[in-house]
Amino acid sequence: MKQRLKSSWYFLPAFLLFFLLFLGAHLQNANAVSYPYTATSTDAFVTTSTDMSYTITSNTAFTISNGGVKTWALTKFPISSLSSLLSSSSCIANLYSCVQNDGYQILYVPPYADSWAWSGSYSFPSAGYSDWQAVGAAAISNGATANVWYLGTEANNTQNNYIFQYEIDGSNNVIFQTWQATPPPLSISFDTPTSSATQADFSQWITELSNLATTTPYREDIVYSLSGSGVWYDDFSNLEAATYANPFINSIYKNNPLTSAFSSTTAWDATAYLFATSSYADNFGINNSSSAVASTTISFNVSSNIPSGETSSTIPITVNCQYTSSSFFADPIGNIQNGICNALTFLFVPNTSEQADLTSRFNTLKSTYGSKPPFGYISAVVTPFQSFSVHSSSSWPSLVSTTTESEFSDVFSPLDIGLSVIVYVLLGAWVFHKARNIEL
Amino acid sequence: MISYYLAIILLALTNALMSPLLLFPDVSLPVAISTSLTTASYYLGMMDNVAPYTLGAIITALASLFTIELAIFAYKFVRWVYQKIPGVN
Repeated sequence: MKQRLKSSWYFLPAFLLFFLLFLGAHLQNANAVSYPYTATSTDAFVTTSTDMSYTITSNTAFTISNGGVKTWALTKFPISSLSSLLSSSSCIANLYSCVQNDGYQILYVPPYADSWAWSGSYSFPSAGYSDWQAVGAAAISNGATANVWYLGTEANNTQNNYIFQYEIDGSNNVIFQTWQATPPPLSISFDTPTSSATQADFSQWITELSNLATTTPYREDIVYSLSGSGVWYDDFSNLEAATYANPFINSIYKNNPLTSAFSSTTAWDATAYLFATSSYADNFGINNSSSAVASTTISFNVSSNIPSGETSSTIPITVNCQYTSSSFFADPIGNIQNGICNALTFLFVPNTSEQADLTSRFNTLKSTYGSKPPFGYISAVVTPFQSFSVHSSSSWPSLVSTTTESEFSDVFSPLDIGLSVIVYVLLGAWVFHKARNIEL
Repeated sequence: MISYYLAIILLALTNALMSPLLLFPDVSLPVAISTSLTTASYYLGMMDNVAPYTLGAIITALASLFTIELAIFAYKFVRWVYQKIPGVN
């Protein structure tokens, strides 16, 4: 070098310049997930309907005798009769037999007890349902509360949105309460909720049920499906890395950026459901939409222009500070190593939320300036050349036909390799010459 | 924690430095240029079918040449700007 660097201040603007160049190059690979989402239902895309409401529509008493059947008009009967019913050999084996003869295909097991277990699907004469089945006599105590719920559709009835509750009151009566529910409100929103918007990632979106109620007797949940697939998911794990404590209680799904993008547009449906709250609530069938009260389905599309990008999950930063698991006095050096490692990790290694935040900020920066000059020009020029090799392999014509190429492969291949070697040698020679005669 | 805040500061600086770019509209190339680029890609695609290694070598060589020359030029430019500061030789 003919001129030495006289000050380290050269490096600051140089660093910034190269950082910008790096950023410009990086922008070419921006992971743009655009969602020209559309609301195919009658709902607006972001919809907020009224809160769920319940009305007790029936709360009358009836009596059921040993081996007898319940009639629909009566919704209350003495617990002693129920106990007898349960002890009846004809009914213990299959309680449905005791109750389905009343002409209603859905009447479900009385009081919940540990001796009741999920038995799988049971087909009724005119409809198929998944239901509970007794595997042993249930002990029924006076004054107990039966936490068995059913939400569903009557097979021979047009009254769809009903919840049936069994409750044992203090007077030894089993009360059948019928609650009518309106479909739960469903709301889907994005932090960039303008149609045809493109943002760096499918991040920071929220699907929620407003004014959620998580206590007995019901819970609300949202399920998602790939449109037309018939496959339902109770979270967005196939779309995003969902983060929530309990998908069956929390209704708010707020997600991390994508762990993988989509090669093509993917249509999704989201539907809110009302489910029963019980220890067996899951078994009421999140995959069985007929057993729950459903909201109007909202559909939206998610598409990805470029199949890869930076996400927090693709930049794994993990540090193993477990030098020793012994006590301090057994291994003081190892424990000190652990402490120093933990301290340095705390100071210098971003945690998961920080990584996600940085990823989001970086993606936002890329999407903000990616279409502006000069980066936009770079992208516009580079993009047509990114896939020319793909074009040549399919519909794009070649200099020679596939047959000719195959027949002359013994000639083309070594010729190709030889030419490439010559080019690389020339490049090396030029770099060597440049290094010897560089003028700064 | 420290790395996180350093990255935040760096991103903020970058954002501030590039914020004037927001005054410009989004880039859109003239149709003729876009067509010519697509055509060039078309020709490269045809050549890639026959001599992929050679094409890759040529692109690599040109990219290397361009990068090195651009780096030298950038260095000279920054140095020239720096020397314009009063009191700096």
